Amino acid sequence: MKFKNFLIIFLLLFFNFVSYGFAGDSLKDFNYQYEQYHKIYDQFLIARDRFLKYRVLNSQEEAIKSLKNLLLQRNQTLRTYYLALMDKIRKTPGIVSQTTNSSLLSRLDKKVLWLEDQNRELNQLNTPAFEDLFIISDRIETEKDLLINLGYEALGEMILGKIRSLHQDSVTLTSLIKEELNKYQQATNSARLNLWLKEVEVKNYLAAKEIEAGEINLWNLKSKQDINSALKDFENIKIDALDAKIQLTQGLGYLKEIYKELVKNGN
Amino acid sequence: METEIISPLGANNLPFKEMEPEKGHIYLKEDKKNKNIFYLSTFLFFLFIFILGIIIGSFWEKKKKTEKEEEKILPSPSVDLYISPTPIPTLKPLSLEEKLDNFGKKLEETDLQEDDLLPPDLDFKLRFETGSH
Repeated sequence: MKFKNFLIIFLLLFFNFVSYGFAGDSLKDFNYQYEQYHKIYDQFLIARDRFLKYRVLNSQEEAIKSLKNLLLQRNQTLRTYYLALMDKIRKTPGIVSQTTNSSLLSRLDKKVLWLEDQNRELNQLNTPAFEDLFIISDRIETEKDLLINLGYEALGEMILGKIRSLHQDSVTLTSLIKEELNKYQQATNSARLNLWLKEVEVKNYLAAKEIEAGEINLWNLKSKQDINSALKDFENIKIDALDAKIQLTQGLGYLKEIYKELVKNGN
Repeated sequence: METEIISPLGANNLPFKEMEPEKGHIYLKEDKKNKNIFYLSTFLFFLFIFILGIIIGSFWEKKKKTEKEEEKILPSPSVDLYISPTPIPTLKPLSLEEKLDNFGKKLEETDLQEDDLLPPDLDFKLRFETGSH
Protein backbone atom coordinates (compact mmCIF):
# COMPACT_ATOMS: atom_id res chain seq x y z
CA MET A 1 0.00 0.00 0.00
CA LYS A 2 2.86 2.33 0.87
CA PHE A 3 4.46 1.59 -2.43
CA LYS A 4 1.22 2.35 -4.23
CA ASN A 5 1.09 5.76 -2.55
CA PHE A 6 4.67 6.40 -3.49
CA LEU A 7 3.93 5.54 -7.10
CA ILE A 8 0.92 7.88 -7.16
CA ILE A 9 2.96 10.74 -5.66
CA PHE A 10 5.73 10.12 -8.17
CA LEU A 11 3.32 10.22 -11.11
CA LEU A 12 1.66 13.37 -9.75
CA LEU A 13 5.03 15.06 -9.36
CA PHE A 14 6.04 13.89 -12.81
CA PHE A 15 2.94 15.35 -14.45
CA ASN A 16 3.26 18.48 -12.35
CA PHE A 17 6.83 18.82 -13.61
CA VAL A 18 5.69 18.35 -17.20
CA SER A 19 2.80 20.77 -16.77
CA TYR A 20 5.21 23.39 -15.43
CA GLY A 21 6.54 23.62 -18.99
CA PHE A 22 3.12 24.77 -20.11
CA ALA A 23 2.85 27.33 -17.33
CA GLY A 24 2.43 30.09 -19.90
CA ASP A 25 -1.15 28.95 -20.30
CA SER A 26 -2.08 29.98 -16.78
CA LEU A 27 -3.33 33.37 -17.95
CA LYS A 28 -5.42 31.70 -20.67
CA ASP A 29 -6.77 29.31 -18.07
CA PHE A 30 -7.75 32.20 -15.82
CA ASN A 31 -9.51 33.99 -18.69
CA TYR A 32 -11.36 30.79 -19.58
CA GLN A 33 -12.45 30.19 -15.99
CA TYR A 34 -13.59 33.81 -15.71
CA GLU A 35 -15.71 33.40 -18.84
CA GLN A 36 -17.19 30.21 -17.41
CA TYR A 37 -17.96 32.08 -14.19
CA HIS A 38 -20.00 34.66 -16.10
CA LYS A 39 -22.00 31.91 -17.83
CA ILE A 40 -22.65 30.03 -14.59
CA TYR A 41 -23.53 33.27 -12.82
CA ASP A 42 -26.21 34.03 -15.43
CA GLN A 43 -27.59 30.50 -15.05
CA PHE A 44 -27.70 30.99 -11.28
CA LEU A 45 -29.62 34.27 -11.59
CA ILE A 46 -32.22 32.61 -13.81
CA ALA A 47 -32.60 29.62 -11.45
CA ARG A 48 -32.76 31.83 -8.37
CA ASP A 49 -35.43 34.12 -9.87
CA ARG A 50 -37.47 31.11 -11.00
CA PHE A 51 -37.31 29.65 -7.49
CA LEU A 52 -38.30 32.96 -5.87
CA LYS A 53 -41.21 33.27 -8.29
CA TYR A 54 -42.69 29.74 -8.18
CA ARG A 55 -41.32 28.30 -4.93
CA VAL A 56 -41.79 24.71 -6.04
CA LEU A 57 -39.48 21.81 -5.22
CA ASN A 58 -38.29 21.43 -8.77
CA SER A 59 -37.16 25.06 -9.00
CA GLN A 60 -35.64 24.83 -5.51
CA GLU A 61 -33.56 21.86 -6.57
CA GLU A 62 -32.43 23.73 -9.66
CA ALA A 63 -31.54 26.84 -7.65
CA ILE A 64 -29.51 24.80 -5.14
CA LYS A 65 -27.69 23.03 -7.94
CA SER A 66 -26.84 26.26 -9.75
CA LEU A 67 -25.75 27.95 -6.50
CA LYS A 68 -23.37 25.08 -5.79
CA ASN A 69 -21.97 25.30 -9.33
CA LEU A 70 -21.50 29.03 -8.95
CA LEU A 71 -19.65 28.67 -5.64
CA LEU A 72 -17.36 26.07 -7.17
CA GLN A 73 -16.70 28.22 -10.21
CA ARG A 74 -16.13 31.39 -8.19
CA ASN A 75 -13.44 29.62 -6.17
CA GLN A 76 -11.97 28.13 -9.32
CA THR A 77 -11.78 31.57 -10.98
CA LEU A 78 -9.97 33.05 -7.99
CA ARG A 79 -7.69 30.03 -7.78
CA THR A 80 -6.62 30.32 -11.43
CA TYR A 81 -6.20 34.08 -10.96
CA TYR A 82 -3.67 33.51 -8.19
CA LEU A 83 -1.94 30.84 -10.25
CA ALA A 84 -1.61 33.32 -13.15
CA LEU A 85 -0.13 35.90 -10.77
CA MET A 86 2.33 33.36 -9.39
CA ASP A 87 3.28 32.34 -12.90
CA LYS A 88 3.93 35.96 -13.86
CA ILE A 89 6.09 36.53 -10.79
CA ARG A 90 8.06 33.33 -11.44
CA LYS A 91 8.49 33.95 -15.17
CA THR A 92 9.83 37.46 -14.72
CA PRO A 93 12.75 37.02 -12.35
CA GLY A 94 13.84 40.15 -10.57
CA ILE A 95 10.59 42.03 -11.01
CA VAL A 96 10.01 41.59 -7.32
CA SER A 97 12.85 41.51 -4.76
CA GLN A 98 13.89 38.07 -3.50
CA THR A 99 12.40 38.40 -0.01
CA THR A 100 9.15 39.93 -1.24
CA ASN A 101 9.03 37.34 -3.99
CA SER A 102 9.11 34.33 -1.67
CA SER A 103 6.68 35.76 0.90
CA LEU A 104 4.26 36.91 -1.81
CA LEU A 105 4.41 33.55 -3.57
CA SER A 106 3.81 31.67 -0.34
CA ARG A 107 0.82 33.89 0.51
CA LEU A 108 -0.64 33.35 -2.94
CA ASP A 109 0.01 29.64 -2.65
CA LYS A 110 -1.79 29.50 0.71
CA LYS A 111 -4.83 31.14 -0.84
CA VAL A 112 -4.79 28.62 -3.70
CA LEU A 113 -4.76 25.77 -1.21
CA TRP A 114 -7.49 27.39 0.88
CA LEU A 115 -9.73 27.75 -2.16
CA GLU A 116 -9.06 24.13 -3.10
CA ASP A 117 -10.16 23.12 0.41
CA GLN A 118 -13.37 25.10 0.02
CA ASN A 119 -14.13 23.34 -3.25
CA ARG A 120 -13.36 19.95 -1.72
CA GLU A 121 -15.83 20.70 1.04
CA LEU A 122 -18.43 21.81 -1.51
CA ASN A 123 -17.96 18.66 -3.55
CA GLN A 124 -18.57 16.53 -0.49
CA LEU A 125 -22.06 18.02 -0.13
CA ASN A 126 -24.14 15.65 -2.23
CA THR A 127 -27.60 16.94 -1.39
CA PRO A 128 -26.98 20.32 0.22
CA ALA A 129 -29.62 22.70 1.52
CA PHE A 130 -29.48 26.42 0.75
CA GLU A 131 -28.11 27.15 4.20
CA ASP A 132 -25.18 24.71 3.80
CA LEU A 133 -24.10 26.56 0.69
CA PHE A 134 -24.72 30.01 2.16
CA ILE A 135 -22.44 29.19 5.11
CA ILE A 136 -19.57 28.38 2.74
CA SER A 137 -20.34 31.43 0.61
CA ASP A 138 -20.38 33.70 3.68
CA ARG A 139 -16.99 32.34 4.72
CA ILE A 140 -15.54 33.42 1.38
CA GLU A 141 -17.40 36.73 1.51
CA THR A 142 -15.70 37.63 4.82
CA GLU A 143 -12.34 37.00 3.11
CA LYS A 144 -13.33 38.99 0.03
CA ASP A 145 -11.27 42.12 0.74
CA LEU A 146 -8.19 40.13 1.63
CA LEU A 147 -8.57 37.99 -1.46
CA ILE A 148 -8.90 40.90 -3.88
CA ASN A 149 -6.37 43.18 -2.17
CA LEU A 150 -3.76 40.45 -2.41
CA GLY A 151 -4.15 40.63 -6.18
CA TYR A 152 -3.66 44.42 -6.21
CA GLU A 153 -0.67 44.07 -3.92
CA ALA A 154 0.98 41.53 -6.21
CA LEU A 155 0.36 43.74 -9.24
CA GLY A 156 1.71 46.79 -7.40
CA GLU A 157 4.88 44.90 -6.48
CA MET A 158 5.31 43.78 -10.08
CA ILE A 159 4.84 47.26 -11.55
CA LEU A 160 7.28 48.80 -9.08
CA GLY A 161 9.76 45.98 -9.68
CA LYS A 162 9.66 46.67 -13.42
CA ILE A 163 10.16 50.42 -13.09
CA ARG A 164 12.99 49.87 -10.58
CA SER A 165 14.72 47.67 -13.12
CA LEU A 166 14.33 50.35 -15.82
CA HIS A 167 15.67 53.02 -13.49
CA GLN A 168 18.70 50.86 -12.70
CA ASP A 169 19.38 50.44 -16.44
CA SER A 170 19.18 54.19 -16.95
CA VAL A 171 21.63 54.88 -14.10
CA THR A 172 24.06 52.31 -15.54
CA LEU A 173 23.88 53.85 -19.03
CA THR A 174 24.38 57.33 -17.59
CA SER A 175 27.56 56.24 -15.85
CA LEU A 176 28.80 54.58 -19.08
CA ILE A 177 28.24 57.81 -21.03
CA LYS A 178 29.98 59.70 -18.23
CA GLU A 179 33.03 57.46 -18.62
CA GLU A 180 33.08 58.17 -22.35
CA LEU A 181 32.70 61.86 -21.68
CA ASN A 182 35.66 61.84 -19.31
CA LYS A 183 37.82 60.59 -22.18
CA TYR A 184 36.64 63.50 -24.30
CA GLN A 185 39.39 66.01 -24.91
CA GLN A 186 37.77 69.16 -26.29
CA ALA A 187 37.33 71.33 -23.20
CA THR A 188 34.47 73.64 -24.26
CA ASN A 189 32.33 70.93 -25.78
CA SER A 190 33.07 68.69 -22.82
CA ALA A 191 31.67 71.27 -20.39
CA ARG A 192 28.53 71.58 -22.54
CA LEU A 193 27.99 67.85 -22.69
CA ASN A 194 28.61 67.56 -18.96
CA LEU A 195 25.76 70.01 -18.42
CA TRP A 196 23.55 67.85 -20.63
CA LEU A 197 24.54 64.84 -18.57
CA LYS A 198 23.50 66.67 -15.43
CA GLU A 199 20.03 66.92 -16.99
CA VAL A 200 19.98 63.16 -17.40
CA GLU A 201 20.97 62.72 -13.77
CA VAL A 202 18.12 65.04 -12.76
CA LYS A 203 15.73 62.87 -14.79
CA ASN A 204 17.05 59.75 -13.06
CA TYR A 205 16.61 61.45 -9.70
CA LEU A 206 13.02 62.50 -10.51
CA ALA A 207 12.25 58.95 -11.63
CA ALA A 208 13.64 57.65 -8.32
CA LYS A 209 11.38 60.08 -6.46
CA GLU A 210 8.35 58.80 -8.37
CA ILE A 211 9.34 55.24 -7.48
CA GLU A 212 9.59 56.24 -3.83
CA ALA A 213 6.09 57.71 -4.01
CA GLY A 214 4.90 54.45 -5.56
CA GLU A 215 6.48 52.49 -2.72
CA ILE A 216 4.62 54.64 -0.17
CA ASN A 217 1.38 53.96 -2.02
CA LEU A 218 2.13 50.25 -2.00
CA TRP A 219 2.75 50.38 1.73
CA ASN A 220 -0.63 52.15 2.14
CA LEU A 221 -2.30 49.54 -0.05
CA LYS A 222 -1.00 46.72 2.13
CA SER A 223 -2.52 48.32 5.22
CA LYS A 224 -5.93 48.87 3.62
CA GLN A 225 -8.85 46.67 4.56
CA ASP A 226 -11.43 47.57 1.93
CA ILE A 227 -11.20 47.05 -1.80
CA ASN A 228 -12.02 50.62 -2.88
CA SER A 229 -9.18 52.21 -0.88
CA ALA A 230 -6.79 49.54 -2.10
CA LEU A 231 -7.88 50.21 -5.68
CA LYS A 232 -7.13 53.93 -5.26
CA ASP A 233 -3.63 53.15 -3.97
CA PHE A 234 -3.09 50.76 -6.83
CA GLU A 235 -4.12 53.43 -9.37
CA ASN A 236 -1.67 55.84 -7.69
CA ILE A 237 1.13 53.27 -8.00
CA LYS A 238 0.42 53.01 -11.72
CA ILE A 239 0.51 56.81 -12.09
CA ASP A 240 3.81 57.01 -10.18
CA ALA A 241 5.34 54.29 -12.31
CA LEU A 242 4.16 55.95 -15.54
CA ASP A 243 5.57 59.31 -14.41
CA ALA A 244 8.89 57.63 -13.62
CA LYS A 245 8.83 56.05 -17.07
CA ILE A 246 8.28 59.47 -18.70
CA GLN A 247 11.32 60.85 -16.82
CA LEU A 248 13.44 57.90 -17.91
CA THR A 249 12.30 58.24 -21.54
CA GLN A 250 13.29 61.90 -21.57
CA GLY A 251 16.61 61.02 -19.93
CA LEU A 252 17.25 58.42 -22.63
CA GLY A 253 16.61 61.06 -25.31
CA TYR A 254 19.30 63.28 -23.74
CA LEU A 255 21.72 60.36 -23.48
CA LYS A 256 21.27 59.65 -27.19
CA GLU A 257 21.96 63.29 -28.00
CA ILE A 258 25.15 63.26 -25.94
CA TYR A 259 26.23 60.02 -27.62
CA LYS A 260 25.64 61.54 -31.09
CA GLU A 261 27.79 64.54 -30.15
CA LEU A 262 30.53 62.23 -28.95
CA VAL A 263 30.43 60.24 -32.21
CA LYS A 264 30.33 63.42 -34.30
CA ASN A 265 33.47 64.67 -32.64
CA GLY A 266 35.23 61.40 -33.33
CA ASN A 267 35.21 59.90 -29.92
CA MET B 1 -12.27 -61.10 -19.74
CA GLU B 2 -13.16 -57.77 -18.33
CA THR B 3 -10.46 -55.38 -17.45
CA GLU B 4 -11.19 -52.67 -14.99
CA ILE B 5 -10.02 -49.30 -16.12
CA ILE B 6 -8.71 -47.48 -13.16
CA SER B 7 -7.63 -43.92 -13.50
CA PRO B 8 -4.07 -43.37 -12.30
CA LEU B 9 -5.41 -40.24 -10.75
CA GLY B 10 -7.59 -41.60 -8.08
CA ALA B 11 -9.56 -39.43 -5.79
CA ASN B 12 -6.72 -39.51 -3.38
CA ASN B 13 -4.05 -38.98 -6.03
CA LEU B 14 -5.17 -35.63 -7.38
CA PRO B 15 -2.08 -33.66 -8.41
CA PHE B 16 -3.62 -30.34 -7.32
CA LYS B 17 -4.12 -31.55 -3.85
CA GLU B 18 -0.48 -30.85 -3.14
CA MET B 19 -0.87 -27.35 -4.38
CA GLU B 20 -3.68 -26.47 -2.04
CA PRO B 21 -2.68 -23.81 0.45
CA GLU B 22 -1.98 -25.12 3.88
CA LYS B 23 -2.78 -21.86 5.57
CA GLY B 24 -4.66 -18.88 4.22
CA HIS B 25 -2.29 -16.19 5.46
CA ILE B 26 0.67 -17.55 3.48
CA TYR B 27 -1.26 -16.97 0.30
CA LEU B 28 -2.10 -13.39 1.29
CA LYS B 29 1.55 -12.59 1.86
CA GLU B 30 2.39 -13.92 -1.57
CA ASP B 31 -0.34 -11.79 -3.07
CA LYS B 32 0.95 -8.65 -1.36
CA LYS B 33 4.46 -9.42 -2.52
CA ASN B 34 3.23 -9.84 -6.08
CA LYS B 35 1.42 -6.52 -5.84
CA ASN B 36 4.54 -4.77 -4.64
CA ILE B 37 6.50 -6.28 -7.50
CA PHE B 38 3.85 -5.02 -9.90
CA TYR B 39 4.03 -1.48 -8.47
CA LEU B 40 7.82 -1.55 -8.49
CA SER B 41 7.91 -2.69 -12.09
CA THR B 42 5.34 -0.04 -13.11
CA PHE B 43 7.37 2.64 -11.37
CA LEU B 44 10.60 1.43 -12.98
CA PHE B 45 8.89 1.27 -16.34
CA PHE B 46 7.80 4.92 -16.10
CA LEU B 47 11.23 5.94 -14.88
CA PHE B 48 12.83 4.02 -17.73
CA ILE B 49 10.56 5.68 -20.31
CA PHE B 50 11.31 9.10 -18.83
CA ILE B 51 15.10 8.60 -18.84
CA LEU B 52 14.96 7.02 -22.30
CA GLY B 53 13.07 10.05 -23.58
CA ILE B 54 15.72 12.41 -22.21
CA ILE B 55 18.57 10.33 -23.68
CA ILE B 56 16.94 10.04 -27.12
CA GLY B 57 16.13 13.74 -27.07
CA SER B 58 19.70 14.74 -26.27
CA PHE B 59 21.12 12.33 -28.90
CA TRP B 60 18.71 13.70 -31.49
CA GLU B 61 19.78 17.26 -30.71
CA LYS B 62 23.46 16.29 -30.93
CA LYS B 63 22.91 14.51 -34.21
CA LYS B 64 21.11 17.50 -35.67
CA LYS B 65 23.85 19.83 -34.51
CA THR B 66 26.67 17.72 -35.95
CA GLU B 67 24.81 17.34 -39.23
CA LYS B 68 24.44 21.08 -39.47
CA GLU B 69 28.07 21.65 -38.56
CA GLU B 70 29.20 19.09 -41.16
CA GLU B 71 27.16 20.86 -43.78
CA LYS B 72 28.82 24.12 -42.91
CA ILE B 73 32.36 22.75 -42.69
CA LEU B 74 32.36 20.80 -45.94
CA PRO B 75 34.16 22.91 -48.53
CA SER B 76 33.58 22.86 -52.26
CA PRO B 77 36.18 20.33 -53.53
CA SER B 78 36.71 22.18 -56.81
CA VAL B 79 37.70 25.42 -55.11
CA ASP B 80 39.75 24.65 -52.06
CA LEU B 81 40.65 21.42 -50.35
CA TYR B 82 41.91 23.12 -47.25
CA ILE B 83 39.45 22.88 -44.41
CA SER B 84 39.73 26.03 -42.44
CA PRO B 85 39.28 25.59 -38.71
CA THR B 86 35.86 26.63 -37.50
CA PRO B 87 36.12 29.90 -35.66
CA ILE B 88 35.28 29.82 -32.00
CA PRO B 89 32.16 31.92 -31.54
CA THR B 90 32.88 34.85 -29.28
CA LEU B 91 30.34 37.12 -27.68
CA LYS B 92 30.89 40.57 -29.04
CA PRO B 93 30.32 43.15 -26.35
CA LEU B 94 27.44 45.46 -27.14
CA SER B 95 28.39 48.92 -28.27
CA LEU B 96 27.11 51.91 -26.35
CA GLU B 97 24.72 52.72 -29.19
CA GLU B 98 23.26 49.19 -29.06
CA LYS B 99 22.88 49.46 -25.30
CA LEU B 100 21.00 52.74 -25.70
CA ASP B 101 18.76 51.22 -28.39
CA ASN B 102 18.07 48.14 -26.26
CA PHE B 103 17.12 50.29 -23.32
CA GLY B 104 14.79 52.30 -25.57
CA LYS B 105 13.10 49.09 -26.70
CA LYS B 106 12.80 47.87 -23.12
CA LEU B 107 11.23 51.18 -22.09
CA GLU B 108 8.70 50.95 -24.90
CA GLU B 109 7.82 47.31 -24.32
CA THR B 110 7.49 47.39 -20.54
CA ASP B 111 3.83 47.15 -19.58
CA LEU B 112 3.12 49.15 -16.44
CA GLN B 113 -0.65 48.71 -16.56
CA GLU B 114 -1.01 44.94 -16.05
CA ASP B 115 -4.62 45.19 -17.20
CA ASP B 116 -4.77 41.50 -18.12
CA LEU B 117 -4.16 40.52 -14.52
CA LEU B 118 -6.60 42.79 -12.72
CA PRO B 119 -8.58 40.97 -10.01
CA PRO B 120 -11.80 39.41 -11.35
CA ASP B 121 -15.06 41.17 -10.56
CA LEU B 122 -16.97 38.47 -8.69
CA ASP B 123 -20.25 38.54 -6.81
CA PHE B 124 -19.48 37.58 -3.23
CA LYS B 125 -22.94 38.25 -1.79
CA LEU B 126 -24.95 35.25 -2.85
CA ARG B 127 -27.23 34.86 0.16
CA PHE B 128 -30.92 35.48 -0.53
CA GLU B 129 -34.17 34.98 1.34
CA THR B 130 -35.30 31.41 0.74
CA GLY B 131 -38.35 31.63 2.99
CA SER B 132 -37.52 28.33 4.67
CA HIS B 133 -37.35 29.87 8.18
